[in-house]
Amino acid sequence: MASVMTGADDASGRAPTAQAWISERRKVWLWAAVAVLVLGYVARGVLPESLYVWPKAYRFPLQTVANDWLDQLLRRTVIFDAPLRMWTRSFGEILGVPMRFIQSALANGWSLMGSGGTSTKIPPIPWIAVSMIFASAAWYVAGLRLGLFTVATFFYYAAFGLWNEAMLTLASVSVTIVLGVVLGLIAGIALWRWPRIEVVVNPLFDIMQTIPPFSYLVPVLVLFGFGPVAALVATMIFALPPMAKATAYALRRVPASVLELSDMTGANFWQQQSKILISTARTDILLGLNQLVMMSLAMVILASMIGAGGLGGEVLKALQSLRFGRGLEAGLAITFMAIQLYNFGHAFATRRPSHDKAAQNWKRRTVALGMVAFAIVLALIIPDFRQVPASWTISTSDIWSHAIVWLNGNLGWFFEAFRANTTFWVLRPLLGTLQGIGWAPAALAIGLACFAMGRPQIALLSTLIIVAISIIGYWEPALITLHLVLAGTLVSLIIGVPLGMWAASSRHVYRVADAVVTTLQTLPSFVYLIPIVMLLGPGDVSGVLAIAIYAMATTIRYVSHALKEVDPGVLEAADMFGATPGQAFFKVRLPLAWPGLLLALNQTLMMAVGMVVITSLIGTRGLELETIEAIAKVQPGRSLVAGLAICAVAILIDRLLTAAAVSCSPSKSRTHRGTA
Amino acid sequence: MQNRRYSLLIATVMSLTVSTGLAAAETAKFQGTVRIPVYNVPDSDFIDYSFGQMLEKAGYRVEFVKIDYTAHFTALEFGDVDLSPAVWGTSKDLIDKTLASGSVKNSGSLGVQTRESWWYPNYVGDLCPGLPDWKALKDPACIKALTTPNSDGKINYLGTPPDFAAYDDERIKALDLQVHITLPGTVGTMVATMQGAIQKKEPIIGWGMTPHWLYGSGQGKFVEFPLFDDKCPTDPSWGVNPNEVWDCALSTGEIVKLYNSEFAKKAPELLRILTNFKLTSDDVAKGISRQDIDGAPPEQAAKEWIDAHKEVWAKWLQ
Repeated sequence: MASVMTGADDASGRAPTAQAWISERRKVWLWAAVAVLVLGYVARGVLPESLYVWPKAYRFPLQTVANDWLDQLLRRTVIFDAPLRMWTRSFGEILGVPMRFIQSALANGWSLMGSGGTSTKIPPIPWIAVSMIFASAAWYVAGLRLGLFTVATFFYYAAFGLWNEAMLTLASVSVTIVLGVVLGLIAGIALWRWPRIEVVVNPLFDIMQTIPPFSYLVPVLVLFGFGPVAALVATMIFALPPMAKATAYALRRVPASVLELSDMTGANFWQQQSKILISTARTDILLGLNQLVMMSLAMVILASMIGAGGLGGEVLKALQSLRFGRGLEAGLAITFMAIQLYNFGHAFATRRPSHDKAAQNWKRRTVALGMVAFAIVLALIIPDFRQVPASWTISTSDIWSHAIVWLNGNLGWFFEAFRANTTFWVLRPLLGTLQGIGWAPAALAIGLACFAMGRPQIALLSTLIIVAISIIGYWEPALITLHLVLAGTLVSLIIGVPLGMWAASSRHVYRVADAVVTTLQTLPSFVYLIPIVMLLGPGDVSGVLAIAIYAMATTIRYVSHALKEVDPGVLEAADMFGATPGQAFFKVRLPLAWPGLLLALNQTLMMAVGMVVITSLIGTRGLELETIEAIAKVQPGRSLVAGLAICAVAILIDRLLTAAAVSCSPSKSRTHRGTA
Repeated sequence: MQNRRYSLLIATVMSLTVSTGLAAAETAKFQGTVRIPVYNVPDSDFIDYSFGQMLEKAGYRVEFVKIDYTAHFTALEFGDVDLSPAVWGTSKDLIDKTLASGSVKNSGSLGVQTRESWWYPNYVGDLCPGLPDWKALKDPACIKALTTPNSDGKINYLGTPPDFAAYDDERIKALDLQVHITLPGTVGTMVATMQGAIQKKEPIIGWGMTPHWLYGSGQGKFVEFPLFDDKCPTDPSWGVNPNEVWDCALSTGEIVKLYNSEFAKKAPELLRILTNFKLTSDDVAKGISRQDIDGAPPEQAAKEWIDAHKEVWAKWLQ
């Protein structure tokens, strides 16, 4: 919340356009908010302590209530004479059928039990054939470049001994994506048809996107059993909202004339949805698909904890046994898979039906089928092409472990000093300041700041969130989480903003930066944890650094986007009036890009919250620790409550910054931009 | 000659196994797949793979299910895994809760005593001569000797991964200790950090457990806290601090073998094998060190044990 205050402050100081709208009265609110914070901090000894820490005697034990409630729901709820979990599990069985089939075809094979204990095994499809099928499909749909990339990707899996893992992940992720597209489209259409359900659905989506997966691990396990289906459900919770939001957003942008056309041509409901609406809104929906693919692959690691196995399990194992090389190899495999799947899906969705090139199409099809047939023949003749032989695999593990030993030996003093200095000069003072403020002054100040922005509903919401977190006794751990998030965001901004500005300055740099950012975003965050913890040791500094690296990609992307979006006409005008480059940047470009920059800050903070939930695996202690620790103490309800508290913090930050971005918008004409 | 005798022995053992396998097949041998959890923890994985590979040698079909340790209790309760031969008795809450559900039973000890508590390297004993008695940790001179630049003037203590249920916060509060906790996040980091501190001879106390190649070696000792009592976690009046719970060590225990009772009905002979299954602390410590020090995968460590102890496990299968 401190950053919100300074953000609003800077806006009034630096941007003359923004200053215009802040009426004198609103300025008073803002100064009152600052005064409350400062007074609250200074007067801690004088004011009653219960304004700072909620008195223990008046705490509401929501955690215990949630434990009992979950126990009741999961273990004792009976619907039509069958326990609840039987219903959910039968439903899960249906979902599991296609997934198990693909898994058997690609990785496991089938084993059939005959009578009398004889078992026959049908092997999975040979690896060379799988590679060729996917490559041919990619070539047929998207062209030579993706075809070659696909071949390279599949050979990478084989070469690094990740074939089976990659196939398991590919099977579960492809089912997840197909299901996610279907459910996302349905939810998106529903949101578009009946905008009123947004009141319920949008907060639900926010919760689904920000709740740490650990906190719903036990309920999902009980309801869906252990295995790929449970993992599918957990992934869906996380990955569905962006797809649904993007669909609804895209449909809203469909011009009214298109709808009129569909009415005039007499299309029925399904024709209208599938033929006209979806294809008109395709480009925007594809953004949702992109997010769906990225998020499904981001979840594979946590999904491996409840039975998805595959590449995610390899990365997790690498973290647990501190083998960075292995983690990086498996992590890159996930990145390549994400890029391949997204481009394939993109090409498939934007494919144009061509009528005049039938002969050419036929030729392409023949070549594609010929390649597959050739691969199958190859596999039939040479056994090495059926299962990847162990002697063909390579590993870079040794190089990486040598590199880390070398770094520790030669630069150990530097890491030690970095850690100590960051702890002393950044983290401890930050946490101390936050802890000094207390819940009551914080709630009051944020409420006042919201009034300054003219948003009484958000004032009410944020006050409620802070009071609720204090009542259930999570104020202190929430502050620990918040200080990690803020420090991580700060580091990310210090490095990411200049890089983003640089990327916005030229097209070539932008293109390179975009590629790097995409790779960073799809590389599973667990992979960064390994070298960080090996070099810096466990603790808050490592957590902050991991958060910063993870969030930085988003900072760079949004900052460069915001600066590029500034109308070039205005910049030319500034140039004509004789502004120096510095003036043009600080007096024209920056103020105009300000709402976009606030959005960048918002998204960076959201990413930081997303990352903080796993930093407890390298030793941070806040609400994120609570979500895991509670499971070990058999209190799944407590874990869920802690997870929801993290959601609440994230939602609070998001609402405040969105409100700030709207009120800083130079001509107020820029409407609320959404945060999907 | 020596070689020949050796191969003869193997042949005998092999034929014995095969014949017992066949004999079992003639009676009602379990036809399904036995699902055994593994959780990326070196000690448990070694035990789990050893048990599973033994079953495979006996002709059963085994699936090793990769799962989180705490999550596996839920899976066991609802029959999503069948048996778990490597449950540390020190995770008492989870075991008690799972047994209370009625669908999971305990088939007894693996024969390995476990201990989990605070542990310190020997040179730390020189810095703080009152150790291993926990009261030494309250001595100001001792606290001063055990601080590091990062520990805020308190004792530098390396805690446990979040899923351990060590009750350190409660213990520190109840015994009123001046301790700065660093959390490692994972077991791998916990061991690596302790090793790094030992190399640099840093003052440190950390969580430790035996059997283990590091904590069980002569390189250090456990801190002696007041012994665990059933009343300690629930009754504040028990123990040195009359107002707080957990003014004691964690319970020492054994590695126990849990199984789903529905599964045992379907496969009574597997329950018998599970009950027979016993290892020694040395076996387990060696299994861990093969993974942690030599970098072998747990399957490999287990295979080595299976190959070297054929006479031992052949008896359990009869």
